[in-house]
Amino acid sequence: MMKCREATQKMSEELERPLTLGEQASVLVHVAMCRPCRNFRRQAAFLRESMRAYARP
Amino acid sequence: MTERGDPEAASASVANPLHDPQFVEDLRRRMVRFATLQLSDPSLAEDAVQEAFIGALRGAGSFAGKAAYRSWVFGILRHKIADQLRAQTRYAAAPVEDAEPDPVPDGFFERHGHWTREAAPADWGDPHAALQDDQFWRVFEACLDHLPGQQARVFMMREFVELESPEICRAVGISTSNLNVNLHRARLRLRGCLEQHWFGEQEAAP
Repeated sequence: MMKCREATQKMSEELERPLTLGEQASVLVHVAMCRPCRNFRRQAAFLRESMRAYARP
Repeated sequence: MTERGDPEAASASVANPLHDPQFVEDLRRRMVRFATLQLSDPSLAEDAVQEAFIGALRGAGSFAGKAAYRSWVFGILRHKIADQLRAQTRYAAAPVEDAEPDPVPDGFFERHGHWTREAAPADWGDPHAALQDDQFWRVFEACLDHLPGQQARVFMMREFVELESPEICRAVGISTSNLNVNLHRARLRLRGCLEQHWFGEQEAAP
């Protein structure tokens, strides 16, 4: 069973490369049951968006 | 030629951020620090900053304030750094040393791999409104400044200079897995800092 430490690492990697089907399934099952990791996933995407906004008035 | 008492000339002078030596010196220092972190070579960093300033001279007086000018000149520097890093890795493949990534952030996860109570990410609601708030960007910059060396370097290469992962690995001389670990740790720290100093405080405000 995937733990938060590994799940969040995979969510970060998801921003760098497509996850394998097995990795995607494990992450999906984990975030379905873990609210903090759901929050982390949204926030990791927001950080990328913020950095791109920061780089570009 | 403008008259000395010409109010238009006076306002143009005020609008040109290059006429404020304190602003220029602060900006130059900040740019050199950023370029040195990325290029690991102070003389290359100085060159890149000078080229960025020269590139930004054109149209320096047409900016609506110092923040706009600073973003513009930083944007030019970003491209100079990307070009320099790509040129370096094209002609000299860096050895993959794969130095140990920066230490694991303390206190994020328990021994069994679950979030600690203090570090577990809270719900930020819709965070996008913060992007319109100048104060948020000041907090954001302060949080970026507090990332440790290697994490800061690769995170800024990826998210600010917008290099691709293989380009960063070649430039820094690390493996893809090492890069991914450093990027993840940078995100953990940056997320935690923003929650502590912005989103957590917004929630606590009446």
